[in-house]
Amino acid sequence: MAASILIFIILLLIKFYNFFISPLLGVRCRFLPTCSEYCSVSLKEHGLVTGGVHSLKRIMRCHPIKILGGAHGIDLVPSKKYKSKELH
Amino acid sequence: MENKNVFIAIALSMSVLLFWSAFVDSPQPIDRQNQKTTSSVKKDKITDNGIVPNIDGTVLKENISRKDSLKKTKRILLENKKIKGSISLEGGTIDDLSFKNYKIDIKSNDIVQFLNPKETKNGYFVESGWASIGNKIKVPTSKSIWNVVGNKVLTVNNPVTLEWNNGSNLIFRKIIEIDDNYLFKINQEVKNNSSAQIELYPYAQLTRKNIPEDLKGFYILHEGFIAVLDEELKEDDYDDIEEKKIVREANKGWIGITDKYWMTALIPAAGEKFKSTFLYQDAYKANFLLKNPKVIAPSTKANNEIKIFVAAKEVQTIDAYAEKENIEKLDLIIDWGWFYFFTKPLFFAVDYLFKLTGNFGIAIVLITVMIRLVFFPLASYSFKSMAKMKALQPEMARLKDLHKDDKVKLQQAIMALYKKEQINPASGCLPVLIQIPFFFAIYKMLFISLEMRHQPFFGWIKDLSASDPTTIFNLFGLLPFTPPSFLIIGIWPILMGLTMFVQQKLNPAPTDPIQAKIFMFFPIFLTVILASFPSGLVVYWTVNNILTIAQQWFIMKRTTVKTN
Repeated sequence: MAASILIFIILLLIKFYNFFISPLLGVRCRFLPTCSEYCSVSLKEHGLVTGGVHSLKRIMRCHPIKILGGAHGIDLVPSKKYKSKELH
Repeated sequence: MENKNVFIAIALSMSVLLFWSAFVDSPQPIDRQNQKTTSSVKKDKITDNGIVPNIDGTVLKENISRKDSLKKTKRILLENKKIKGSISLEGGTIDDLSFKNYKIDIKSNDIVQFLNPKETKNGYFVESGWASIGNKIKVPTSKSIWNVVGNKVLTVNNPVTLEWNNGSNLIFRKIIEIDDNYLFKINQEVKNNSSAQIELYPYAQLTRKNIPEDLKGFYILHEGFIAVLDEELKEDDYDDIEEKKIVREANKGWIGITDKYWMTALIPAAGEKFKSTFLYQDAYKANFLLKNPKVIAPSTKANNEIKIFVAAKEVQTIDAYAEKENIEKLDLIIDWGWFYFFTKPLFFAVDYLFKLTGNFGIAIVLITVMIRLVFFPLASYSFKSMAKMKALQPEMARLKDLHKDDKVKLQQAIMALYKKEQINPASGCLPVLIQIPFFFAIYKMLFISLEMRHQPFFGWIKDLSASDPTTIFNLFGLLPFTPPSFLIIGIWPILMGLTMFVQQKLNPAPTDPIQAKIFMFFPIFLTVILASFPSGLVVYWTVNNILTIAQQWFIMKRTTVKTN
């Protein structure tokens, strides 16, 4: 219960970010789906803890320095459900 | 781009908070002030249960001028190179203290009067004394008249001794010293000439009748009660204490009340357990009372040392005290915030540049240039990919239209386009997130800095810590009237807005129409918000904008030539 409320709040914050902050930052996404999309999907799919960990890991990858784990390209939330629904 | 936008993002979140406090928070203190008087009487009786040693707590409701009240009681004068004032012999209270090096405002020559006698409207004073269980022993109170023994003026290396005889064989003494900055040491002594053994608990107390008039009430700065107890920082707002008394116990530490620029702190003797209490009882009070009494056998003496700081929050001075007097985390009385480890070094950098150039505004400009240099490679990388992205915008729009209903197809198409055009992926979100603490730090540092107070910049900026006094609504002083304060929108904030507008024009516009509108509105919004902020901050923003524009424009020009 508490977790789902928290997830709801985080999703709201992501929406706020999408509308008010993201446009100001300009085009900066290395990944598709974007980090904000990735985080919302992963929180909805995997819940607060696992979804949160996935989201953090994603953000930690979102930079150009390869030796520190930087990556880019298409990077979907690791979930069969997501893949089957969206990809096939 | 990088720095700029992180900053915009922070500013946006901050402006929400600011507006919140402007419209929601501020009316409340007035309400509470009216409620206070009714509830305080009851509280008095609960604490006075005879088991807990009681601290004398009468607060005078009188309201006479500072000058009159200083004449009312006998006083000894005190002065060193930083402070001057006097100690009232009624109660042996430190209740008259001014900071010699700080003026009230840039126009006047009057110095800041910080501590005020209890009879004045804004009474603020420091007491020390002894308490006994059930008040059975006659101890000095705020009404007791002390005698001066020997030296009558308190200066550095010339302590004064106050004495009070309770009439039943107890002689109380206070030996008060000051150093050349802001530290008082009071050595309290009791001589027991009676035939019975007695137990007394030393205490010290700060009393402040009103919230300071210049209270900022800003979310980013703590003003109010503060303590470090067993190495843990505690911060309580004035209204928290009005609602509820807070009692804590500790083995070591200090307690105090902090303003934006000034502070008072009480430090119990080392190695003594104590109880710290923050309460509202006709006035705001912060006190400590030792847990273990001094047991004084017949014909012996006992003593206890209390340190009292009444200080301007000069970084170097406070840090030196924390070290020299071994007072744990006293430096936290300056609210460096969560990003302490960034904010403080940043301050030292600005302060160094200030001393080097002699002008705080120039120091701000220089530090801005330095920050841009640090982030130069990161920003360049980002600008390059951004410039290409902008060139590709028509193509992007076409793809979006083509794959309107299939997100995944769109994503794949975009990726393919990137590959074809050999665009480096953008710098990503982590570089932005990493910078947030840094920019919050410079913002906070400029906001809290006492060193920036009353420092001039060029032209009409006479005080970088105050907002730009000019306003567009009287054509910057050409028309002979002063608009209301919310219409004071000065030259610097407008410059900031313009530079931000230009800077935005260099970025690809958001594709969503609502987002695009927000984007357009933003420079105006921020100009209005920043108009009321310290002009030093606005100078920083403006210079940063100009540097960003220069860097981005340069890179963009080069990139565009290549892609075409």
